[in-house]
Amino acid sequence: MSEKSPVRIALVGNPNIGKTTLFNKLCGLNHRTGNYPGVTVDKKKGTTKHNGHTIEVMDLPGINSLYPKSKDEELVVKYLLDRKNDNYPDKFVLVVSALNLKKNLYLLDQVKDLNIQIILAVNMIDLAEKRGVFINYETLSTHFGVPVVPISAKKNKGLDILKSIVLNDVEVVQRQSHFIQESDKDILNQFREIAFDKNDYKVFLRLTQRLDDNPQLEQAKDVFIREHEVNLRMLRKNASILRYKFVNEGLKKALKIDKTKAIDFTSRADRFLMHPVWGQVIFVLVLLMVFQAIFWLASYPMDWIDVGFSNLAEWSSSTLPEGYLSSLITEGLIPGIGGVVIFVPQITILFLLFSLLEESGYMSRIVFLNDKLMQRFGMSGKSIVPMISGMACAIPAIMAARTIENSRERLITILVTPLLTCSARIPVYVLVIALVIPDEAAVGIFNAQGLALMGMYLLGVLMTFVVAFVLKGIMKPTYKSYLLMELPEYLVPDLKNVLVRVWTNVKSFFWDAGKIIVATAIILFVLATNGGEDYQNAEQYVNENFAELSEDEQSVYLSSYQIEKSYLGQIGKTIEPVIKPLGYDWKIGISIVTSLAAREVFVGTISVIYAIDSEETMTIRDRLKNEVNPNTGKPVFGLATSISLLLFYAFALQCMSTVAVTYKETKSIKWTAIQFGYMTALAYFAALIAYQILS
Amino acid sequence: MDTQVMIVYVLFTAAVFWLGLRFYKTYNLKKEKQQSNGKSCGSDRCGCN
Repeated sequence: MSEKSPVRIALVGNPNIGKTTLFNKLCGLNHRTGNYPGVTVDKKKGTTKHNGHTIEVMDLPGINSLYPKSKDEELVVKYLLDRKNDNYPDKFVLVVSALNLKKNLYLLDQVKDLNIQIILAVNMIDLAEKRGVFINYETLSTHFGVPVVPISAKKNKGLDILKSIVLNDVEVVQRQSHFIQESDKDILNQFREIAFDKNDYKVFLRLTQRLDDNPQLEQAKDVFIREHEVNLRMLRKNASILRYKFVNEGLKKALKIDKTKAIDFTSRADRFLMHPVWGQVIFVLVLLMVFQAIFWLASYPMDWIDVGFSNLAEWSSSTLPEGYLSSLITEGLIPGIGGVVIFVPQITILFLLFSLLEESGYMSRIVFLNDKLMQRFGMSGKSIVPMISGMACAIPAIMAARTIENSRERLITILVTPLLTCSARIPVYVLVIALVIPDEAAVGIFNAQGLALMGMYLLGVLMTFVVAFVLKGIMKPTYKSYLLMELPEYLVPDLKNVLVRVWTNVKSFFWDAGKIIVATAIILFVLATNGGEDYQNAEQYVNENFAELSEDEQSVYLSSYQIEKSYLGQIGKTIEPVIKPLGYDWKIGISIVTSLAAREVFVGTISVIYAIDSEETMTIRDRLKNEVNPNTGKPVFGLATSISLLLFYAFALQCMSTVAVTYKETKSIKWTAIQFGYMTALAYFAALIAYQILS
Repeated sequence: MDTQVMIVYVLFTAAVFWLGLRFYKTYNLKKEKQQSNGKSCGSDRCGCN
């Protein structure tokens, strides 16, 4: 190796042992880390320097063993076996947790048999000492035949030593295939002639699972298994027994646990937080506090933003030279953008609180606590992770479902996750709730609007379970799955990680939605200010037919008549018969159509339509509250329409990106169409029933 | 044509084009599908089940 040539390493290990934290500390990059399994779903790259050398670091998704049970595990295992890959690293750093050595070292024992250069990084040594766990690293190194480096990624301990060792060549100790029973060795030797590989373990892996997309090899393997009556399950079981025996022998010599020296906060806290009854009560209380905080803390900045944009519109209206572009800015862009910006405080608080819960280690407890419950609905405890992510955005949530091994459970999770309340629904909910529940209303000590918002979240959760239960009945079970996970220590959240995550999510909400909203606002404005003959002759029509009205009244009627006769009005009128039974007028209809791109566009659209229609400059909420149905004389956003609208947005799949991601993840037009179809039908009929009962 | 009106129509055209392109990109997964190995969830071929 030349002195300055970069060394390429890959971080590999079980999920949730701090690989991504180590990666971030090594490379100083802002990558997402989390204190629950399934955060790393794709490999990430970065670089670090040490003594003038460059080290290229790759963070791989966590794997439990070399027997992949999920799609991301399968990708990692294929990568480990593919030495011809251009991105294959010079060395692997296998990261294990000092708190869960037995399970983590099983993976080391497997990877070791691939005869690659491995360095063992024992992470969380600081926590281990607090829990009375003491490790003899030299004994561990001798037993497994790999260099061992104790580290604490979170506290930056041992990382320089790790980098130094990475820069040196690591001896690959060839060992006898201790994972194969004597009676099975003949089978392996005979299969070697088909698999064409010198490495015992690769031959074993090729025999016991489908790792190659090579139909010829698979065909030959099938014939071999039939002819030799090979019991693959038994082969794997025997190998696992022998490996655990070897791991246990090593731990017997190298590991000492002295509970009397433990200063263990986690065990004491878990007595309450993991209690089957109290645990669930605390979980509900935590959620209640989160939603109360969203309303309480965000109300002030939201009012400032609302008034600020209203003043900005007024200022621009009086300052800018009169003209079409000025009208676009005042009546289209400012209300449209304001409609999104106003919800930034609430979304920031939501992400902040969820990130704190995630970083603290509490999220993993929620996964574990709800596993049995989830199994009853055809999902697994691991479904909780995408479901909680789904409360921020369905897109990463559907991708996070990759960590679910069982295909049926994964598909059910993907199909129901968009029913959970994502952040894009918050603007719609908050706006509509504020129209029917006064700001000062309270139920006991709780803010009534906050309770209503929590109710919408719970409705989403309830419907998720109902639909999952139905799907469980329809889809045939494959095999019974189990949840294998380790519970992390409770940790004081890393403020930098929390802030980076909040910033990334808020930026993505504001920027992604903002771009669509600006484009939509321009299109809507042009469509609402142009029209056919009726639109062109609107002024003449009003002057001739309403000459008895005062000038002000004529002006109000003219703007209302013009928007009705505009292209936008005509489109709205066309779809009105379909949405009228739900209690919506054509303006709400237009907003629903445009929000097919993204739900939050609803608020932007409705702000633009009513701003064009209105003579006065006022806040979005006031404008909608004052809107009266010309036929009935009642408020447009009455109780029945508002509840109908809330239910429609609770269940409808108004997000084209979610549709695309479902298709990408399932590779199935059928399931994508089923998801879109059932959610739209559910939304329509729930809104219809609610309106017809309440009106 | 008034300059302000012209600017608005240019913005309108750009917005329609951009949204259309975005929509096309989102749904244009055909190529990706062809590259994939055709494994599909719900068909028991997801992972190594």
